[in-house]
Amino acid sequence: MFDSGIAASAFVSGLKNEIDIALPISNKTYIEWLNALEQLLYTEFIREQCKIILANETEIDIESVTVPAEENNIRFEDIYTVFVDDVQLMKSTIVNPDIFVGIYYKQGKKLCVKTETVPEEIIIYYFVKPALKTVNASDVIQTGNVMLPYEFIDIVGAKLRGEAYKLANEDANAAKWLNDYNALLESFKAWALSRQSKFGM
Amino acid sequence: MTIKDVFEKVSLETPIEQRRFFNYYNDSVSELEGLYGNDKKNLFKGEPVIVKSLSDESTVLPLYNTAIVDNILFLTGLGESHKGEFIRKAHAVYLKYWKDGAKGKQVKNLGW
Repeated sequence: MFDSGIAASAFVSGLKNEIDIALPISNKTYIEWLNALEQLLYTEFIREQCKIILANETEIDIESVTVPAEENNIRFEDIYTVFVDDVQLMKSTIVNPDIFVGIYYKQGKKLCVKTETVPEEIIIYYFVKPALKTVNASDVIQTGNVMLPYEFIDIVGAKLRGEAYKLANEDANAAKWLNDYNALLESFKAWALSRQSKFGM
Repeated sequence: MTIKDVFEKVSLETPIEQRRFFNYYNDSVSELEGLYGNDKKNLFKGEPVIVKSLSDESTVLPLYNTAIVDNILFLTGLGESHKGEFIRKAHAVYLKYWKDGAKGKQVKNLGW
């Protein structure tokens, strides 16, 4: 995962000093925008893969799987592929386990696998996302850095400024910053695309 | 060329799940059998087998694998040109094995 090295609290504090609006916007709101942006960028563009190995289970409560502290919980939709004892499973639907083996599918919030034999280990490859940043009851931002490459930190600034001005009905400023955000996002997409692997899944 | 080598060649062109690859590989071998199955000694070494794992051994004669790669790429949707290449390469390979097998043999005069 990328880490800009800039604390989310310091970043939001700097932005709040700079944004010129009368309407007070809570830290919680800024952090929600920041979280949403980070999750979007990691899910759609960065798509960094991680793997986790689990013991012999056929139904896994995927959101409860323990991941490193800096990562967000895994959702079924974050799963890239699943291997069982060196056999790659195909993603399928809940309709198919009675017909096919060698598949995985979603049932409620669970990841279920259907294999010919009882699996010894299940290897899940998933797209990693940074842990959600939080604020406490007093609206103080808790620890956590902005988890993006430092050279693209302006994306976050543009997005948060745009959202703040939009909330304050300052449409001209909102449009300016959101246009800037869209332009930076295009650059970021090209940057991420040029760094994708060129071989295999 | 082993099954793993074929998988690598296909993966160089497009990402593919293993199960999809095995199905396309076996389909390609069936197509070859449809084309040249009357002359099995120029297609297989031993009996045909269904491939289910990267560590499996294919019994298709090794030179056919470049043609099979093209057919798999066609089946993954990478364009009609791969189908043409599959047919062209498979035929060239078949002729090569046939010629190699015919070396030193006399063709009987059938009298026409």
